[in-house]
Amino acid sequence: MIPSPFGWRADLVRDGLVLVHPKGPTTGTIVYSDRLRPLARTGSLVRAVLAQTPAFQIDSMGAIERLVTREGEHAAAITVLGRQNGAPVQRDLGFVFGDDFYAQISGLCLDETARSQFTTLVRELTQQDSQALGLRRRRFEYAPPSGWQPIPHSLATEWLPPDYPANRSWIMAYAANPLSLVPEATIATSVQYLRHLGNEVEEREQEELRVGSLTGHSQVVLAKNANQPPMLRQITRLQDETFSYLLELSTHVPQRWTAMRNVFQALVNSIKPVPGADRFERGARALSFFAE
Amino acid sequence: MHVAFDIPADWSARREEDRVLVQRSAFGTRLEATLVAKGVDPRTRIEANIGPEYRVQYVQLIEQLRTKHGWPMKLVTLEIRRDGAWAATRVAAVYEMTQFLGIAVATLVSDEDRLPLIEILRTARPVLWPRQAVCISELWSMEDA
Repeated sequence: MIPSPFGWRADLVRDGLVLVHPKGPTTGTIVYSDRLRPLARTGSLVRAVLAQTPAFQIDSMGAIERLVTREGEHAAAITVLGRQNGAPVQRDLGFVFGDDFYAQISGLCLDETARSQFTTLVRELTQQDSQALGLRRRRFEYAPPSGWQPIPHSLATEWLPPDYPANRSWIMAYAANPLSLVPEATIATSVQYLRHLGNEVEEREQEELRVGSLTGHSQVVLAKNANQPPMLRQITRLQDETFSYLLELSTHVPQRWTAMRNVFQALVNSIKPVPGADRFERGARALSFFAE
Repeated sequence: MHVAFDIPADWSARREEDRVLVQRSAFGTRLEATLVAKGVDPRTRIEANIGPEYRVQYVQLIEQLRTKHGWPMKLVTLEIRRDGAWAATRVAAVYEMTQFLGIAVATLVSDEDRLPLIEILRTARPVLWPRQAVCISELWSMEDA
């Protein structure tokens, strides 16, 4: 949900809201849509929005701007210049990314003198979008290894190397868990789970870690059972004030262990903490007649 | 998500959504491959688009093969007959690719295509990136998955 800017007309429509510029629709409109699926890359979302108006011809596309909403959700904004029916048009698009859906703020500016106003406003509305998703288990940001492929398991993602299955190694990046809600997401729990699966587990080296503002440690284990070759696993757990971040590197190919650990360490080093909610004064919302 | 192949110079390939089509010349042997969830009976794809007046006879099954990338692979050859007379030959490969099955089915136009076709089938590998975003860092990409 976004606030309605002062002076703009707000019309509720199915799946969202249409905001009309104080000077009327010939100046421009902003359409807000919520709970859209599937969640996809910004490029795909932009192309999908623009495809809805086939008469729109692209002249230039700006760079994607990374944003975080004041509730701590990841977001993006982009400006596209073009022509519609021969007339110059500016499209400002904002996207707020949920766990498996997104919200979209789509600005259409027909008045060249109002372009910067639209660009600023769409970004502000994107940052002020309220999804009220709260503290929850959620994906966190890291750079996946180049060439590796993902297999999603709900909010966790398993990564397979380019030479899999010849190289039976994989990385599992679990979702970040709120410490207050899921305190049991620990290395000890992971080791215990391996034993629960029938493995004989030999605990090897432990290491303390610091990645940016995150601290934690890692544990290497060797797991053996009768059904498959021995498995080396590094379990890494980091945490900040709010979340824990658990990842595992596993391999059945001991001769690849060192190379795989280097890849894993690079991924761990790229982890960025889940953004925190901004608790600044919500004064802007006092202007809204569409406030919650 | 789809199955990818290494394509020789005299063959062409294109992708339509999750379907990959590989073909030798305009009217030559044509291969179609999809990646489906495990549990799908591969015969529903191998025997697709065969009219009720035809009969299918499996003439060869080779198991425990591996692709060049190490994925488990089975190769089958089947003949399609009408009133006992040969009508067409299909060659199909079924791959186990993590939690998916890769299924590639080709209708042989010429026996000369068999060996190059099998070489193509041996190069199969899965492309697992789904259209839906699976990691945060890809959200700000302009590229399609």
